[in-house]
Amino acid sequence: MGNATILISSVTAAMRAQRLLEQRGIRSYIRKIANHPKLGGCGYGLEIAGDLTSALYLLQAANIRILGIL
Amino acid sequence: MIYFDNGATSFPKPRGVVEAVHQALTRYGANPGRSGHDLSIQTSAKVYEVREAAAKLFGVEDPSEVVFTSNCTHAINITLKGLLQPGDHVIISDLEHNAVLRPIHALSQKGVEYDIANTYGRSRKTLDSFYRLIRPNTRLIACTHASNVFGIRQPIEELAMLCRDKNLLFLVDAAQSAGVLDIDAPCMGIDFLCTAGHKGLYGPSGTGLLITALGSSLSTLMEGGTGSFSANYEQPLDMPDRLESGTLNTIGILGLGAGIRFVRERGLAQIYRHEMRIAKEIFHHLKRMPQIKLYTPDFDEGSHLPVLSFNIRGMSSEQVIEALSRQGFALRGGLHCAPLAHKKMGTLEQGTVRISVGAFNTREQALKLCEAIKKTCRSS
Repeated sequence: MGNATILISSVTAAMRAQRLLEQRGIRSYIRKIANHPKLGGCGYGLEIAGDLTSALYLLQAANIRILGIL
Repeated sequence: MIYFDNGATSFPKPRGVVEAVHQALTRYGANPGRSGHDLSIQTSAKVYEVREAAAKLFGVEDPSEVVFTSNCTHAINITLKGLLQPGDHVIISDLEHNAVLRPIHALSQKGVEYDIANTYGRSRKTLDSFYRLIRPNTRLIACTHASNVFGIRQPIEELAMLCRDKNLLFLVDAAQSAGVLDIDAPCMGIDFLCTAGHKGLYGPSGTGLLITALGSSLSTLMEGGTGSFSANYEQPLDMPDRLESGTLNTIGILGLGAGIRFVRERGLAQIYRHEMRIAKEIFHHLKRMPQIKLYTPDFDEGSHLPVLSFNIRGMSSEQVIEALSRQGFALRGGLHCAPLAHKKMGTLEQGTVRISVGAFNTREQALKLCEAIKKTCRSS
C-alpha cells in the first residue's frame, strides 16, 4: 500500500503545509489531484512519507484546511 | 541619465532582480498552481518563497494572507470595492493619490459616502481631524502612509489605534513607504496593507501586494480560474485564491522576491537613512536658492520620506523637467496623480517638480542635480 495523501485546497496551502511538516521532520510530496469530489474539482494533495497522524495533527493545529485523505 | 524618479518606479533594479527575471523566463516557465508536473510544482515553490518573503517583511505569519496584484492601485481597488457597500462611510486623507480617491469617488456614485480629513503631518491635530469625521456608519479609514508628492508622513500607528477604538477597518496605501519604512501590519493594526512591488521593493513593473487576514470576507473584483475547487461555479473562499484569479505574473513575482531580498539584506533602516541623507542635502541646497519654492518648512526623518517637491518661480513644472532632462536628469513634474495633495498645497495649477530618491542614488548625483537646478534657475 502506498503513502496516504492529504487533500488540500490549493497549491499555496499545500506549500505551506509541506513547509510546516518539513520543520517537524515529516517529508511530503505535493501532487496535483485531478477532479476529485472532495476537492470540488481539481486541487492539490500532500503525499505523506511519515506518520500520518502526526501530520494531520500538525496541519490542523496550523489551521490548514484538510479536505480528505486518499 | 541620473535617475531621481524612484517614486514613480525604482531604477535601476538590483542585479538579483534582473537574474531572477531571467531565471523565471528560462528556468521556471511553467504555470504555478495549475499543473502537476515537476516544473509546475517547482515554479509554485518559487512563487511561494516570494509569498513567504513578503509575509515576513510585513510581519505576517501566514503567507496565504499575501495577495499578488498588478500594482498598488489594483490592491486598493480589490479592497475598497470588495468591502464597501452602499450606505457605508469612509474617511480618507487630503494627501491621497488617485489610487484611493478615484475608486472611493466611483463608489460614492453607488451610495458609499466619504469625507476628506485635513492632515497636519504626524500630529495630534491630524488624528483629531479624522476623529471628528467619524459617523455611526463609518466603516473604514483609508490613508496613505506618506504623500507621494511631498513625502509627508501620516500618523499611521495612531490612526490604527483610533480604528481599533472605534471598531473601524484600516487601509494603508504604502506605495511610497514599503521597502523604506518598517511596517509590521498586524502589530500596527493595519487590516489592509496595499503596496507596489516595483517602487521601494525593487521588483519589476506590474507587481503589487495586498496583505490582509480578511481576504475571504471581501467580495471579488475578478473571478476565474484558480487551480482549486475547479468544478465549483463560485469563486473559492480560500486565500489567496479568492483574490488571485487567472495565471499569476510569475516573472514579476520572482523578480519581486529578489527585490525584497535586496531590501532585507541592505536593511530598511539603512535604506531610509541613506535616502533621507541625500534628500535632506538636496532640500537644504534648494532652500538657499531664492527662485525655488519649497512646500514644507523642514524636511526630516520621522516626518518625511525621501520624496520632495519644488517649483522654480516663473517656470511651469514641465518646463523645469524638460530643462533638467536636457541636462541628463530624470525627474517627474505635474500633479503626480494626486490632485488632493496639490489642492492642499495650492499647486493644483502649476503642479510640482518631484525628486524621489532611491537606494542607488549617491551624494555626488544629488550635488550634480542641485547644480543643474541652479543653472535652470539662472536661465529662467
